[in-house]
Parts: sequence; structure tokens; C-alpha cells
Amino acid sequence: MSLLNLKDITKIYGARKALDGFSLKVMEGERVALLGPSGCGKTTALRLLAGFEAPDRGQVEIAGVPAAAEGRILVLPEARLLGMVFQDLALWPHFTVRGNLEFGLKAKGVPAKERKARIREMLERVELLEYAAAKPAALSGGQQQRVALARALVMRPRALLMDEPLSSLDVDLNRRLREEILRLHQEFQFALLYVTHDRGEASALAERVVLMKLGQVEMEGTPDQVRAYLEGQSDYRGHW
Amino acid sequence: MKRSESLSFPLCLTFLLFEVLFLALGCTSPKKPEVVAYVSEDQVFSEPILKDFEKETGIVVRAVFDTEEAKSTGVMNRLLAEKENPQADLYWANEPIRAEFLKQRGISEPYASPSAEGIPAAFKDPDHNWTGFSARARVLIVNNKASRKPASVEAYLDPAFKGRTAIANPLFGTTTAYAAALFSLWGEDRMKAFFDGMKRNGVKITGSNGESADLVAGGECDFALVDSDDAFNRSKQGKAVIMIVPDQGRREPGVLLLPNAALIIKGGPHPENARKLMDYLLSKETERKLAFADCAQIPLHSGVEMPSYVPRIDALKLMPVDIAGVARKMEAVQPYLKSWSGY
Amino acid sequence: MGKQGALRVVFALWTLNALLPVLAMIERSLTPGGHLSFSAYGRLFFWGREWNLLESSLGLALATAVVTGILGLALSLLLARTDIPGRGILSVLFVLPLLLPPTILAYGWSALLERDGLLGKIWGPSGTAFLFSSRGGVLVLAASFLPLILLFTMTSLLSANPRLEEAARLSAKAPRILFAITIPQSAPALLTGCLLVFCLVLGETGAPTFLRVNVFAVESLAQFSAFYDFSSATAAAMPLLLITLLAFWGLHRLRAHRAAALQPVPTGTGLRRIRLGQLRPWFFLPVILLWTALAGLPLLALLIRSLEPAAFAEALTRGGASFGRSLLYAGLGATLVLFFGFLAGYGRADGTLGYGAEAIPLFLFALPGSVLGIGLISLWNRPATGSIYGSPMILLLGLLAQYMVLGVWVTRSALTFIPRSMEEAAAMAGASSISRLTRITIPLASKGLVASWLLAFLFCLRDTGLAMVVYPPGRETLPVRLFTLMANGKPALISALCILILLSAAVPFGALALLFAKSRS
Repeated sequence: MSLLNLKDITKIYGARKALDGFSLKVMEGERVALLGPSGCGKTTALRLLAGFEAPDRGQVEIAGVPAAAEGRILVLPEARLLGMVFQDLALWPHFTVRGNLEFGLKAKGVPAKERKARIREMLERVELLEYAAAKPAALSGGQQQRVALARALVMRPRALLMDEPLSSLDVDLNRRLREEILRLHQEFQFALLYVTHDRGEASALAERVVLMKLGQVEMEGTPDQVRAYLEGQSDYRGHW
Repeated sequence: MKRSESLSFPLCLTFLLFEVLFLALGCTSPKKPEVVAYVSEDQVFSEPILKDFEKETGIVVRAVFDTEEAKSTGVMNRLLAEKENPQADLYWANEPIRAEFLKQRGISEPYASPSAEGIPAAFKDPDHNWTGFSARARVLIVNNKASRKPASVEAYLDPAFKGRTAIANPLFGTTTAYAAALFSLWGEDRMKAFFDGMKRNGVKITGSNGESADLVAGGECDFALVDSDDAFNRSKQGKAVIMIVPDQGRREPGVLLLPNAALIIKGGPHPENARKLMDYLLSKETERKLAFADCAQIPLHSGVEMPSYVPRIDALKLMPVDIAGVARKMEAVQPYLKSWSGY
Repeated sequence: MGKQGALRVVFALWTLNALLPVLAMIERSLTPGGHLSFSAYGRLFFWGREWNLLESSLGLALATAVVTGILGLALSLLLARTDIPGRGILSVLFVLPLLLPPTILAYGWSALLERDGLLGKIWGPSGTAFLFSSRGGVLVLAASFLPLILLFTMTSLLSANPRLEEAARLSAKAPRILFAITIPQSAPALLTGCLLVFCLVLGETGAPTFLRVNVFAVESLAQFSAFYDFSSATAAAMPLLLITLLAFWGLHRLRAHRAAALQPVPTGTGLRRIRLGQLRPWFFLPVILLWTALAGLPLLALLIRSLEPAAFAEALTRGGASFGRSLLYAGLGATLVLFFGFLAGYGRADGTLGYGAEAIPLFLFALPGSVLGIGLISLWNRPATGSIYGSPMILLLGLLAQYMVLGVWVTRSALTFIPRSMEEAAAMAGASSISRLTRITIPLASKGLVASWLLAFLFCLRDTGLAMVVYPPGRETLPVRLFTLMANGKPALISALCILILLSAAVPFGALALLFAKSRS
């Protein structure tokens, strides 16, 4: 059964169609990249899955349960048990690193002892235990990225949505964090939906790449299949 | 998957907040006897009288005081707005025209106070709806350095005083009463000719009698028509002014005397205490206090002790006016006064 | 009930409370003789004089808005973005005039320029001729309302995204950055402040009347005070409200375009202060002189006038419990304004509530307090609601109606700077709407909320027009007491009362403001 399912989605903003009959399935534990240029609808697809917006047409299903359809949100974001790393990270500046991680656990009623253990474990995983009492403003860009990742994963989500989280990092840091994401995926076995415009990132992180263009699926397949497709395009300029 | 909480919590909080506020602020003070008085007489003069009443009777006075007319909507509007469900027990008007106005709108109820005995009939409503006490005269406040001292309001038309006179806006307060009195006495044409002449002679229109008095005291104007308490006040403050009671000559109209007026509000919450307060206000003792206060008001009872500088009522030539008639004239004269004052 | 439904219900509650009295007055104005008639409106412009008054009012309001806008922008830049010495104290000093009704400042100026006054002895009659004219009106009203511009613009400058300036610094020098980046960023806040000043001056009657400047707002007052004509008084208020709404619409077109350009502030960043270096004294001196000219001198004149033996003692006796009462009512009023204003601002920010959530509060803000007050009496003075009408609650309901705009606009502006993703991330973490609101949005917007409360506190404290009409007998506020005592009160007593009002408001306000400033640093 698919964990995340966007069925024939259309989403319109004003005069612009962000998604046009778009369909996507992500199975449990699968790693999928949504690849495409700016404005192709990748982030919109993510926001619909997260529950921040409702489709104008089509249906969103989470674990087989209808979550949104035809202008209505049927299941609120906090009830979807998904995790998300935002493009601007959205770390709460008034909480410490520990506070950022603890917030969701408290909201879910996790007992204090368990909260402490899970936060410690997660901070160790992302190598930020010594910064637990620091505020996000005091951390470097890479450290903030890891906090955002830890915050999403400490909730043990069924799926992790990532919206171009590594776009502002240098090559080395980018590579290190990619490895970290893969390692964490190996350990926690969440489904991963990764939005990017970078073919290298898509190839490194995903088992399946969905190539988007103008709100529709242009092509999908393994990274190699997508690369071959792109190399065959007349406007292909870069390297994979 | 569970649906999350809603924002009904802030709704509940809203209602709770209001409940707490209602209870906290709606609580009236402990059960002392009280009376609610709306007062148009200047607070500096009226408040001490009300405080004395509280001390002597143990009845708490909850007062609403008035401002100078041009500064706010005033107490009269509150009385009119509250007509269907009165909150006030008694109204202390600073001139009887307002009291008559309220009577004509059915807001007052009759009460013949025993303290009213001895007050001349001309200063009482024949139906006992209001009773006058402690009067002010419409006088001329004159700067000591004025080259000539006016003896009549007709001096407003004298070219020698061009641009050097002031009068409070006749749309408000006692100046309205004065205009209506002239209208009543002289007739419409002569009254309008007088006011138009004043304007041609460069009269300054101020917001209140107090401002007129200040202009004279400050030397910007030679004289102004004000209430006697405004003139006395400036004099007591050491300003270089004198007070002239105008129009005392044989062919002249006389001075307009405007007493305070007390009336009981129909349907007020504490009628018995209202009558006690009214009896107190109309007493000789109150008139004595107001005569000796800075307002130096003229007692209407005979035999009241007063300072030598306060004119005695029997020593004045009074303008012969019928208050009820003047009050009725006010509505007729106001459109003209509105355009005259530039409103 | 979902979040959106709850927000709409709360706003609807406020709207009912605020608009019902006004609708009652409008209904009255359309049915003066018990049947439908537009006579009250027709009479309004029959004489032609009213058109002149309207022109005079517009001129006064525009001139004041422009003067305060220019001065306010310059001062805000100096105080918020440079290292001019004494920034904190100067900010508090410039806000002081907002604690007093404009009539009191006019009174202070009059004391200064009268024949025996400090400056009157030097300038002679030309001083009073200047004061008692429309120029004097602009001076007094600009001094009164400049603090409003400062509060809005300084808050905006201090909350600006430093990245935008930093990007510009790569290619341009400070003056160009100032005019091309910094000032345009704070333009929406500045324009909002100017609109509020425009509305306030349009509806102001006290100071213009004192200074003998004929303005249209007095028309409404005259209908009350001279004719006791509620219908005409309400009708007379309508043109001012229409102008206000037009100005709001015009501003909204500008702001809608501008607001989209504002970006949220990244974490861990701070704004760079412009170092004035050796020029510091050359900037400090004019600022101090400006304050002295606008507020210092008239306040000094009041202080000098009050320095008679026993004046302060009499003022304290006369003031009595009004001191504490005023602070209590202002505090409660500000809290109500903040509570409802925040929820309405939040509803605007997330699109739940439409333009009405801003336009209706502005409409109420511009409405003369006397019209609102009489409307409140009509609505609440009934046997069934006597416990509300006879208590200070009626005043609080009026203050909530009249000053809600300060809560809505300031909090909406504060919320603009919080990225939507902050709340969305909390939603993904499983937090409920309440939890997101109380643990994410409110803490992040806390500085804006405190600023909103302080502003509402000031306006509630100095309110006179509304308070005069509805205060429960025996429970008047300090400004009301001041106005009632002005009639033949000794100048020393009045001046002492003015100083005491200033102090009683300045002390808690100054303490809060300094705490607020400390928490920022």
C-alpha cells in the first residue's frame, strides 16, 4: 500500500496552475526525489501532502485514508504523523536546540523521561549534543540544518518531507548531510520525499526520481533512467 | 488519525474574562446611602458643597461634572440620552434655561422644597419643576488699562472698541441665554442688528466665558461680557481687571441675572435622597458658601451673609425676562446664532 | 469549531459590541422625526459654510500628517538606526506628549506665549497671533501626534531584515542604502502612522476649539452641545468617516503592494547602527532642541505655572482616586484591545478575516467619542443591562470599540515578520492550534504585542471624548477631571494637575518601555 498518494491533483493560484492533473505515490520506506526547475510545482506538492493547503481537484491520501479533497482539508497537519524540513528551516529562535526538539514530543504527550532519552539519542545521531542548550542563532548554517533534521526525525514520522534543505550549503557540507540523511533513513526506515532542483542531489538520495515540468509529471524512473532521458533532450546542458 | 483541538479555548477565555470584569467592576460599593447628581456648575465651586452635604448627612454623592460647553457634549446630552432609564437623581444646572429645557422634555418632576421659601417667584418654576439659587450676573469684565470703561453692552458697537472686545460663542451656555433674553426683550430685528453690529466692530468669538475673561485679563481685549463668577475669579487671581454691572441706566434693559437651578430627575433611582440634596442646595447656608467662594454668587434669599463686593440683588436693576419664555425663544434664535458664530 | 470559525466568532463579538451603538445612532440620524428622512444630512451642506469647514479640516489634517511624517521619519532613523547618545531617554521624552490630550498642550503653549509667559515677554502679541491660528494648530497637533509616527516607524526600523541592507552594502554607500533600502522598508509603517494621525486630527475638536481654528469636527460637537440634536450630530460625523475610509483604501493599495516585499528576519542576526562619529553632537543638539520646542517648553510653562504653594497638594486632593482609577481603566482597556486586536490581526494575517477586520476598527477610531458614547448609552442603558451601564464596564466596552485598530494593525504588522513556516513546523510536530498560537506565534510576536499594549494604554489613558459621556457617576478618569476643573479652576491647579497626569502615566509607561528596550538588547 502506498503511504503517500497524490491522486490527479490540480492546484491553482490566481491565474497560475501550479499542479495540473498531478499524481504521485510514495511507498513505505521508499526514497523519492521530486526534481524540476523553479515554479514546476514541487513545493506545492509537498505542501499538499503536509496538509497546509487543499487541492482544487483530486485527492490526497495518507496511508490509504483520504486526507484532503476538492478544497477541503480532512486531516489536519498535526494528525498526519509526517515530518518536514522546510526550505528556510523554520527553527524557533526563542527555543534552544533542545527546546526545538522537545516541542513536538510535549505536544504529543510523550512522558518526560522518554522525551529526554529520545532527544539525547537524536542529538547524538546528528552530533549536536554539546549544543543542546544553545539557541539556533548561535549555530552555523550546517548545524542549523542538522537541528531541523533532528527536530523532524525525533517525532519518528512515517514519512519525511524535505523542501530543498541543502540548497544553501557548500559542496562538502552538502555531501556530508546527504550521507547523514541516508544513514538516518537506513536506521529509521521512513519514507522520504525530497524536493530539489539539483540532479546530483536527486541521484544521491533517491531510489526513484519524478521529473516535473509545469505542474505535471514529465517522466519518472530510476536515477539512471531519468539521466538517460535528460541526456536525450535537446536542451540538456549540464552533467548528471 | 485524531483531529486536533480547536480554538474554542479563546472563546471560553473571552467569556470568562468578561465575566470576571463584569463582576469586579460591576460591584457597587458597600451599601451606603447615595444620591447621583449631574452638575453643570463649575466643579471647583460645586464639589465642596457636595462634599459638605456628604459630611453632614452621610449620603454619598456620586457626581458627574460638566466641562465648558464648547469642549464636550456635556451633561445635558447624557440626561437626554438616559431619559428612558434615568441614572441621575438630581441635576444642578448653572442657569435656569437648561432646567426649563429639561422640564419641557419631561425629564424633571415637580418638588416644592421647603428651602425654596423666600426665593423670589421670578427665579422659580411656577410648576415647581426647578428652583433657582445663588445667581450670577451677566457683567462686563474690563481691563484696567482700557482707555474707556463701558457701561452698557451697547459698547460692543462703539468704534472706539473696534477689534478690542470678546464674547463667548453664543451657541453655548449662558451667552445663549443672554442672546435669547435680548431676543425676548428687544425683538428679533433689534437683537440681530446688535449681533451683526458686534461682528462688524470686530468682536472676537471665544470658546467660553473663561476664555473671554482671560483675553481681557491678558490685555488682548478691553472688555467682554461674561458671568460674574468669571470676573470675580480673575480679580481674585490678581489680574488687572474690574467688573462692571451693565445697563443700569433708566432707559437701559438692566442686567441679566442667571441663577443656578436644581431639579429632580423623573424616575431617578434615589428620589428621597434627591429631595434631601435639593433642600440642601436651596438653603441659605449653601448660598452663603457660594457667595464667599471665588465665584461670589449672589444669594436669592434675603438676609444671607455675604462679602461686601458681592452686589445685593435688591441693589440691581434686573432685566425683566420670563425664563420659560426665554427657553422657548432659544430654539427660534439658534439658527441665526449658528450662522453668526460661523458654525 | 475550527480555528477559522473561532476567530470569526470572536471578531463578530467585537463587531457587535462596537457597531451596534453606532448603528443605533445612524438609525436615529435617518429617522429624526420617527420616519425616514435625510434632512439631517441635507441640512449639513446647505449653508455652504460646512464645505469651508471641511476644507479647513482637511488642510489641518494633511498638514499635520505631512509635518509629523517628515519629522517622525528623520527622528526614527536617528533614534533607531544610529548611535546618537541618549536614544532611550530621547525616545521616552518624545513619546511624553502622547500621554496628554492635545488641548493640554495647547493650554501649555498658551501659558508660554501669553503676555506674562516665558516667551510672551519676548515675542509679544505676534506669538499669540501665531498660536491662535491654523499654523498654531499644526504646531500643537504635530507635537501631540508625532509620538505615534515614532512608535510605528521605529518599531518597523528595528524589526527590519538586515540581509536586505547587507546585500546593498556590497555595492553602495550608506546614504544611498538609507534612501533606497532602509526608508522604503519602513514606508508601510510610516504611512500607517500618518493615516492614524490624519484620522485623529480630522476628528479632534478640543485643541482646534481652544486655538480658535474652525474645523468640521466641531460641527458634530456643536450639534450636541448647542442643539442637543443627536441626529444632526451623527450626520455631521459621517463625512469625516467617509474621508477616513477613502484614505484607508488608498493606503491599503500602497501597503498591499509594499507588504509583499517584506521578508521575515533570519535567526541570529542584528541590525547595524550607523556610526555618527564626530557628528554625534551635531545631531544630538537639533534633536534636543526639537523636543524642547515641541514639548519641553509648553510642559515647562505648565510646570512654572504650577509652582504655587499648595497647588500640587490641591491637585492631589482634587484628583483623588481618579489617579489610580485612570491607570486601572487604561490597563484593562489596553488588555481588552490587545486580546481582541491580536486575534483579529492573526485572522487577517492568515487570511481568515477580510479587510473588514481592519476597516471597521479604523472607522470606529475616527468616530468622535461623543457619538460612540451616546450610542453606548442608547444600547446599554436599559434595566436589563443596568449592571453593565452603571459600572466602569461601559467605559471599557467603549474603549475596546474605539481603540481596537491599534491592536489589529500593530499585531498584524508584528505577525508579518513571522514566517508562516514557523507555525507550519509546529503543526508538523503535532501541536494543536492553541499550542501553536501560545507557544510559537505569541512568543515570536511578543515585542509587537507589548508595543500594541503600550500604545493602547496611552490612548485609553488620555481618552476624554468618550469617557466624558459614559463614565459612571463618581468614577471619573483623570483627564475628565482635568477638563471639568478647567472651568474656572486656578491656573496653578490646572497646571499642577497636568504635570501629575503626565507623571502618573509616564512612570508606569516609562518603566515598561525601558524593560521592553532592555529585553530587545
